[in-house]
Amino acid sequence: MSNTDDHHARLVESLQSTVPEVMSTMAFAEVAVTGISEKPEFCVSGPAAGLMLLIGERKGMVGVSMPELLARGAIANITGVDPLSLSEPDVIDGIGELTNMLSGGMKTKVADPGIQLSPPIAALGDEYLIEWKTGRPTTVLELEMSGERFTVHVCTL
Amino acid sequence: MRVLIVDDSGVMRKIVAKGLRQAGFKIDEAFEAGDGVEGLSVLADSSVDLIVADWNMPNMDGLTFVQELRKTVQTPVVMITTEGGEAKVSQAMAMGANGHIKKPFTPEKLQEVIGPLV
Repeated sequence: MSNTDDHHARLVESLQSTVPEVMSTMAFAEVAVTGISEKPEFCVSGPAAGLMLLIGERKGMVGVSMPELLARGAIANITGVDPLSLSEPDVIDGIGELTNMLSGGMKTKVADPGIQLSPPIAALGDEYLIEWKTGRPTTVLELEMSGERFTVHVCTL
Repeated sequence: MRVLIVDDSGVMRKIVAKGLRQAGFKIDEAFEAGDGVEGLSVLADSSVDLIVADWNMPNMDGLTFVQELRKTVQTPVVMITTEGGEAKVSQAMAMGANGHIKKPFTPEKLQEVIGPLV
């Protein structure tokens, strides 16, 4: 296993425990990892999506994709605001913060000083596909929360 | 208690306010600011008992905010961020921050760090 492969494996392992921990701590929601798959490219679709670049010595990207109602529910839980009273900017802001917390938790667990995180990027919409063409495979964690599925993606260069 | 929450994310400001209440702090008034410049503007008009500030913000980041406010205000400041590097924590404390909490945080963690300061 190369150094890069080992680094990628540690990020994936970290995310597997970080995502349920963060959702439990901040959103009071139980999350189960239901599957892990490999994709040839980094592709994230909506309706609610968040991205964070690894911009230090270690390069890569973490992405989160979930249904809008699931995102609203999680954001409502962490803010104490009614999900239907959240404005669109609130939801976009909340997706960014969720992505920030998940990536930050991953970084803390891995404890690699070569990992620096960009500010979060968030998107909300009906039909779009975000593609990061790197030629590197992406690991996709399939998760379930409140009976709904969502995914967390990680790609390292 | 009067608290000033400085964060460019409105959602995170709500999370902090909710977390403080869950931790058992009685919040009489919560002022909000979207960056360090706004935070200093709030402090020019209002006195608070606690300041909770993000690290990475546009216009004026958390570290500069702490450095600037310490010229006139000695209110306890706690920084909340995902960036947990020891060097940055040391830098924040050297500039006048009184504590540091990493996201995600629990009400218990807020109580542990902020309780002794207020």
